[in-house]
Amino acid sequence: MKSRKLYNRIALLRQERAVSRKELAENIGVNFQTVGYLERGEYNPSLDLTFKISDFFDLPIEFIFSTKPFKPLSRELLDRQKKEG
Amino acid sequence: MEATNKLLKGKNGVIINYAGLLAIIICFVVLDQIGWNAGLIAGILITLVITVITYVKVHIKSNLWKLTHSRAEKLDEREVLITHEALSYSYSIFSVICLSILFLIVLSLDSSFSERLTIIRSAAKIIVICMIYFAHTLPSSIIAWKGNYS
Repeated sequence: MKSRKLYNRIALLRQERAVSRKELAENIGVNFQTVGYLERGEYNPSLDLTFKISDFFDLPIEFIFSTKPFKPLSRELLDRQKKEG
Repeated sequence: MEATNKLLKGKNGVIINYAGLLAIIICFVVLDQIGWNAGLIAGILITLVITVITYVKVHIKSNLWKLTHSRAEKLDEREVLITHEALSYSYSIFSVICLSILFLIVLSLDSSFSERLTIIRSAAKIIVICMIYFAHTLPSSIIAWKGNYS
């Protein structure tokens, strides 16, 4: 069964928090190469791994993973400001 | 050096490795037909060296040997997935090749085919030795071929 592509913000969050692939891999219990595959969207993680990633970044799953491409964060912030204002 | 490394990686490495293995079988068959000869021994040694070099590059240095020979508990979920896929492909490929060779060996024992298939009979021992190597390297060769572990 071919699953649909999952988009994620792992690379962005990792860079923002200055975490290396190796550090992230050790914390979520995978090989560091797997982190690269996840970041490039070449591998869809299991639910268990998704929760581990979400716990590591302390963010909700829907903020890290999506079935639709993410808008740039700046765009999302602007849209939110417009909604609130 | 970099060009050589690139040549010996992935698909090229797998092709050269198995071509070396095939060349060894051919050399032993020829050796059985015409007897010992310096050129043939040199040929066997050269193909053996090429096979060993490509084996080290494709299977050992890339960690693929370790990956396909590790227990599932030691691998992460993506590694389990690619290993499982490679092992199922290997099972199909190896069984077809193995049973075809077995069929040819059985045919060579039959008197009506025995004259045409004497080559198979004479090469049976070296083929079996090469098949042991083939069985152990096939899963990692499939991963190297597909390029999904780098």
